[in-house]
Amino acid sequence: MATFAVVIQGAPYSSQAAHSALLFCEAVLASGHGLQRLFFWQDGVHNASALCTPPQDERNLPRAWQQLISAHGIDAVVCVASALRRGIVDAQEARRYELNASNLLPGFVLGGLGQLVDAHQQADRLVTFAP
Amino acid sequence: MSGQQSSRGLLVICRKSAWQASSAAALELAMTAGVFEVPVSLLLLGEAVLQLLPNQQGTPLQLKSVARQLPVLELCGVGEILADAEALARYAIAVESCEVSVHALPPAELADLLARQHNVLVF
Repeated sequence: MATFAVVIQGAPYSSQAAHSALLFCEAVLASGHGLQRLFFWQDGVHNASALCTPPQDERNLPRAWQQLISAHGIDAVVCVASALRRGIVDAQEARRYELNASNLLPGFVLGGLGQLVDAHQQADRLVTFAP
Repeated sequence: MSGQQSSRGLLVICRKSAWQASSAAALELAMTAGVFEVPVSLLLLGEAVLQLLPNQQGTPLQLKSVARQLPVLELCGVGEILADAEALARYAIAVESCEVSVHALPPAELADLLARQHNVLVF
């Protein structure tokens, strides 16, 4: 069994990157391998938005990520610098910056690039999905 | 491979000029890896060598200059800044004119470098 760390740099519905990453992660787990960490970076942070509402006949990628994370207890880190720039905030950051709402889906956590470097060191393979 | 072994090296490749978001991301990652004592080098390919031009001013464009961060890389523990020698020649950039120490790699050395890497992140 191998462990994978996956970096997602594409926003949902903007390119195939996010969807391909999700399918890859599902295949990794279905094959008996492990996911050490998911790292959502740059435009990829939009995958953690609770406000995405695609049409009913399209897969809701943020909710699909959330279900995968919850079902398998995966560490899902959202780059805090990328997220704040793009309006993805948790309750703590909303308070810190005096914003009137937060929108980070439960199951995702904000973190720093150090966690990407750590994932690179710990996982057997680091795979990136970028637009 | 095992997660318990000593730090695995990383090559960060940047292919964009100083004014693109991915260039900033590449430098941030290289600096972070360096701070965490991961053996890391930065390779500038193609138009990314334009980051090496001195005296770049972002103020007229209301942009932060990524090039200003290049001198910080060494302080953060980034081993080397490498550059595509052909691209340097194409843009008429002399290594001596750069504000940071740069090692220019001709095509054969570039190919050899890439062949020796286990971990590469491209921006």
